[in-house]
Amino acid sequence: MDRHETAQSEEIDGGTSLEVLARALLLHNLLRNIMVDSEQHLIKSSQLTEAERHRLLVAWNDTERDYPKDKCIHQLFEEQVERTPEAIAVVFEEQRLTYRQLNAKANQLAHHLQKLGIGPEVLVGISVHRSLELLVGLLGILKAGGAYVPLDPTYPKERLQFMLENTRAPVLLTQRRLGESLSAHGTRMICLDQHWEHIARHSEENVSSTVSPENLAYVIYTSGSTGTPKGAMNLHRGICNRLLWMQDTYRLTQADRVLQKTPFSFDVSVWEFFWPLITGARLIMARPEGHRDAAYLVKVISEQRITVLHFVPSMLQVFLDVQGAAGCKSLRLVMCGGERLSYALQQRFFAHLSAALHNLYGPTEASIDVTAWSCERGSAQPIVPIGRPIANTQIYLLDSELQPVPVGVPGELYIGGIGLGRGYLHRPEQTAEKFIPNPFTDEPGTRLYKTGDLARYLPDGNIEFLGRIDYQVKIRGFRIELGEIEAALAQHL
Amino acid sequence: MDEREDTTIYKVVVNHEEQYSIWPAEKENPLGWRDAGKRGPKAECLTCIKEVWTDMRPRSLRKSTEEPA
Repeated sequence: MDRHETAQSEEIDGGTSLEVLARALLLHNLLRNIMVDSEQHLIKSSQLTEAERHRLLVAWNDTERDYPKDKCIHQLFEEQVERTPEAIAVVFEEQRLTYRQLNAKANQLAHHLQKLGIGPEVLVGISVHRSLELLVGLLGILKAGGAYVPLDPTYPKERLQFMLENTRAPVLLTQRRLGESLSAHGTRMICLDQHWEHIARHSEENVSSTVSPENLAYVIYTSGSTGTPKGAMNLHRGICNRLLWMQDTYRLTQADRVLQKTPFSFDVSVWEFFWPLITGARLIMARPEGHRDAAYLVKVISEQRITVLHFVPSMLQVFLDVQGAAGCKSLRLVMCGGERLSYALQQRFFAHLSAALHNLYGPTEASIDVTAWSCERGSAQPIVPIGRPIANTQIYLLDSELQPVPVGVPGELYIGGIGLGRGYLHRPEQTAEKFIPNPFTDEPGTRLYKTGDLARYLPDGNIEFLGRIDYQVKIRGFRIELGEIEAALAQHL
Repeated sequence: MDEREDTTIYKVVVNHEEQYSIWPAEKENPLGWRDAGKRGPKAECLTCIKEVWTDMRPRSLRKSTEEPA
């Protein structure tokens, strides 16, 4: 799971792991039952039958779907501009732009960036508060052929400075009032507000570049549980697959209004920005910091008649507590991700809202999400799975010998398929450690991403997320996975 | 699964895109991966990779970029 978001949730909950540990110690009897249960599960993988191995490795990973493989994100947007030029593309407070207008502005910026040498594989920093400029900036970078690096202006200056220097970006897009807080040797600053008059002298026509689906689209830094931030490199190919899968599965129409409220330094924002823009729907951008203010969210959902939005579960909890949340009748699709979605929270959601609820899972290293589950109102089991792999994606639950674990037994979650990013920027050793050879495919030379997340298969092939693998304590010499305990407790609460 | 207890001997492997990784030394290489030479504890293999893997773009992309337009 995305550790940024986990960290965020821990701020809200306050000391999650300590609480879990305390609960674990108090419920010693329950714990013993779990341990007996896991001993019974100590089946060696070699005992898996051929049929069982095939089911785990092949049948449950049979996700092949044919999407255009020659497209980049901005090209899918440009096709939509052709289809619905006069439809409203984006709304930010009192401002709005049609598809044609948004495309024209992004093109002007892209032409300007190309003159400055931006093209494929060139990283461009962007440090802009949520605004129309932010969206124009992201599209402009992609259209120029470059890849964007979000530098959230609300982050501590030292962290931003580290990321900017680590990327060696030749250009930083920012706003006048933020420009002074960042500087790096050899980085040219462009203020999208102050310098717009100059940028607007460029052509409004679509830009040509040699960018291909194998090129970088963005680099998002993950905090990691230890050490310095790592920049996860993601490709057009994986993001396009992810966006087209989402459209295939949930179907936005021109009547839909998607709220963009996730900070652009989290990868969930990538689908919030681009899913509506490749389908003709309307993107509504929440005001800066609005994503933390549940009362504001209720207001903007009602006023803008929002139909689709994303919540991290901890924020969904806060949202459902606010007066008026149940009155958000326009909502039809709510996506959750970034943390474990509890059964209790799912039930509260269904008690308050008639919208569909979907639980998505994926790390920043692999194109936003890799599994999906449609929550069920009348579910028989008191758990919320993360579902099955999305299109063109494989999931493997493996033991420490890299062998598949049987159904019901916890294993580490590995990801294969089109969504895999390239690795960590300028960090070959961490990349080599986490992106390992894929021993389960006929396609030579492909890789798996080792998530460090613990999960298990339910008998029907859906996956249950159990927690972080390093989320581990020892009690009287027994090694305890807190994630497993949490999952077990959730079933008894 | 606890990396602090990892006493496995690894080998450095590389694929057709010149992407490097590590693989347990006693296991057969997965399809499309060949030995790059180095064997040893994980940290040693990773240090070796840090030295040799200086351009992380896949080989095919590097080639197509270098070809004149």
